[in-house]
Amino acid sequence: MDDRTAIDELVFIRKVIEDSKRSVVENGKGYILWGILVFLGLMSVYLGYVFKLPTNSPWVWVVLIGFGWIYTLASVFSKKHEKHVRTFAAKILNSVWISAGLSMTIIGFIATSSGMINGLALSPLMSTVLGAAYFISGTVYDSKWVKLLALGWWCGGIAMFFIANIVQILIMALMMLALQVIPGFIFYLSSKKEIK
Amino acid sequence: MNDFDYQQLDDVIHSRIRLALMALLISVEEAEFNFLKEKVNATDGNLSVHLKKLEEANYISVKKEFIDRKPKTVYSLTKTGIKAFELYVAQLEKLIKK
Repeated sequence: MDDRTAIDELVFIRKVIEDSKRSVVENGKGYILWGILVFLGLMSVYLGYVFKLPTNSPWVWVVLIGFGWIYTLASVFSKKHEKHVRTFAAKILNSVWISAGLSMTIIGFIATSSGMINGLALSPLMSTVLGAAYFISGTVYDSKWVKLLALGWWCGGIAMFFIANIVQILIMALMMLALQVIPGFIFYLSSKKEIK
Repeated sequence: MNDFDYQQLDDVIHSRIRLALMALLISVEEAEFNFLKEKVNATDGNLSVHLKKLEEANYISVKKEFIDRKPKTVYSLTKTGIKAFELYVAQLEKLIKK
């Protein structure tokens, strides 16, 4: 065996490993679903406040977040049976998003109903947690644009800590669309391309 | 003149398809037969032969299960397999550095 063949072998190994890494590509459905659910919740609060509608109720959140969790858990269990491959990266990503989601659910429901956290602190806190989850995801995917989303969530979180009025809810809703739903669609389209 | 002894290279791994299988399995935790087949672009028979050879060398472990009455065969690298693959890559790198 000569140098050239050895290099070819190493290049081949690298290509195979990179190719299989792409098998963890996110289908984006979870991002889209959660983004839309939270967006709807935030808009119900905003519109309820501005137009004095009865939509500003904690029950709206219970229904939306409850639906999100049922869908998420159902898809996690069904995926266990249909996946052709299990990767360490996918395991890490699942853990990151389940733990981030659980933390946000605890902060959103328990911390506010106990009175420990002011409702106005919710959006910036959620934004900060989302920033951490996106940063880890960006590292696992080795993707700069996903890491930039983290930066967007963190900057938004910092800004919202200084906006103690209803505009904060609108900002969070728009961030949810721009930094969660749209990236979800990008993931969805690239996963479709990958399958083809 | 290159004095590298190519016979040092592991024969079990030193085949395109088995090398691809080892590289695939090193980057995932476990993979199903169909996933491997799709990735290495091999026929069922050909793939089975190569997987058998890796299994005989104790480089991979096989787990068979039934999901909704459908058989599923899942493969993963063993510790011996990981060591053998690392050694193989190290030998290739050594050859290049010479």
